[in-house]
Amino acid sequence: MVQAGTTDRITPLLHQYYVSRLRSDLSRWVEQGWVKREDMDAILKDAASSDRASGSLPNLLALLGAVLVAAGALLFLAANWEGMGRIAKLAVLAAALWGAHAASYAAVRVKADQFAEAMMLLSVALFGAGIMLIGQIYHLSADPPAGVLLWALGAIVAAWAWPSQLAACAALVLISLWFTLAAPESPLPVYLPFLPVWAAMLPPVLRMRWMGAYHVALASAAWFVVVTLVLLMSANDAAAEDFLRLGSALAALFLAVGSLLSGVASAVPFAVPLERYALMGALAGVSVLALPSFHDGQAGGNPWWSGLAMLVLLAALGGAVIRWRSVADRLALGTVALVAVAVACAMVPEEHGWLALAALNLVLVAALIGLIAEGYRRDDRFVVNLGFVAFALTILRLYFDTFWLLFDRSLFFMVGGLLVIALGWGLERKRRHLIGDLGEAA
Amino acid sequence: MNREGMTRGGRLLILALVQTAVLAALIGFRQWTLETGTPVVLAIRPVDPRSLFQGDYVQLSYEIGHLRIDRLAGDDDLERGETVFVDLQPGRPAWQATGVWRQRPVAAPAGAVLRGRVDWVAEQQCEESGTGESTAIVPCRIAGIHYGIESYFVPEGKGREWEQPPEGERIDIRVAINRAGTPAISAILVNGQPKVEEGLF
Repeated sequence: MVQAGTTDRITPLLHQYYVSRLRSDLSRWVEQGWVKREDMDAILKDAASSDRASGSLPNLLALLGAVLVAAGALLFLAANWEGMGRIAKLAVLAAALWGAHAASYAAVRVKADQFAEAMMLLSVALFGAGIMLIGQIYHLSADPPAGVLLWALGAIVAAWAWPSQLAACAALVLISLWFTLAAPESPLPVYLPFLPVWAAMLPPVLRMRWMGAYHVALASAAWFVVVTLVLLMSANDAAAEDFLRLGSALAALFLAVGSLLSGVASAVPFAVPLERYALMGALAGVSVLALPSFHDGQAGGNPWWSGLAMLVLLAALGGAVIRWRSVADRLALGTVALVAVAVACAMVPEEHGWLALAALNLVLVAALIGLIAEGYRRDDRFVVNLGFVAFALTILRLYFDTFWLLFDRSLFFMVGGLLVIALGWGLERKRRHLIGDLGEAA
Repeated sequence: MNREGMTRGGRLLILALVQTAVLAALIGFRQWTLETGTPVVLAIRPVDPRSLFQGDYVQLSYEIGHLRIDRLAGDDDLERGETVFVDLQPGRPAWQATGVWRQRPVAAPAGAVLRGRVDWVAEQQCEESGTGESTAIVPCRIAGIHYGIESYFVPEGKGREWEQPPEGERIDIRVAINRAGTPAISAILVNGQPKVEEGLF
């Protein structure tokens, strides 16, 4: 079973809040006699000296400083464009780049690791600025994707060599930008060159357990999938429904992969975010497919794409069943079933389109209730909260869909307002009750 | 920690050297192209002066940027995004495209091969000269080719001087094309005479 808080990382700012809250709570507990006064100081000292708390404000300032210095260097060159010769411009550029590296080294020597990270990020930014400025000074052939790729490769080398999580994040963002610029211009139906460059960033991310960079890597991969699907479908004149069905099926497959990975102890920190991103993707896809206004009651779409989505779902089903049989985990299985219903709607004849849509909405509501129950069973606050939010939004949307044309406008808004209040009160009460139970269980 | 610090210092030194070398290579490659490339003069198309200059760079539109591929040698079934090689032959005052190929052709002794990328392909109606002064409208196939030399950065405000050249003044661009077909702008020509020449510093 995946513990919800396994991968939760406390940011420096949150840690400050945590220590402050702990201080007030401990005072109360000491008064109650639950904690000895001499233990209170030791607990506070331990909490305050945690690595996560070290230098949170200086870290933030160092990061801000890095951004300001990079922006300042660019503005300086821009403002003095006419007054500076090429040698002077190149000298400023080289001095800034080497200065950032020297600052990184000096910072790590005095154990200011976070400051060193900020300087490494600055060096990556200056490297990119260097490419752009040299391109401008020497009128280099304009090829924006190639320029961004070169920049990304520099960031990848920095992330590997230092090693630096911020440089890894920057590299992944730049890889995504390169893909976004290059893919639409490429004759390739699927821009596969993205994959090896993206994968080049994974070994240090996984080895160093950089969770921040891992989230960026997942977002980058999700972006690749979405853009690729959009390009593929627009090239083949496919409908938006096809895109959503195949996208939801792929999300279910990634969810199954994440679910399987969570069975491997060392992979749990990486499996949980993968599961969560995939779950959100699948829910978003099916929720849009369930909108009446989206396809106007028509099943729509091309059976070929739905068949492909079914094949993807079959693969997801395999992983989901393995997970269900081994640890009774129903999250992946339920998601596969939900997406399968959405895909099956495409095969319903057009004259029964509204019936299929009603069935999909019923299944969606049932699935969201099941999601909350499964989140509670897994002790997973994220899943419980996601389930409640999605459930509330779906109920409100169904109300709008159903009664907008039937009710008098004033009655519609009054009943709607009461529904919102009732939903908010009821769901929040239930959510707190479940979350409270999870807290006690933990 | 000291040993680790030294190791990191070494890696950092290599990183800084690699990044600097990459930046230097960008300049070096361009300089190599200027020094060893075949000099070719390219005509630019008259464009709307209001859109010729954007900020502090000139947007250059070359005559060889719009090619009638159904009349040129080579491949005429090109698609958007493909890399192509354009065969250029000397002409007066500017060089002319004689063929477009997917695979790099062997350049004629006096010619040069320029690499570009297909931006768009369109079926159009073209005006064609007939006998005497008569013209005919015929179907044709045009490809927009991008060579990466369409932008030329100028000092702020200087672009206005070229925006509306005096009557009778003709602006051409001289480029150097290296063995790989990559071009680099080497001079701006006014009536065939260099007005701006590119160098290393």
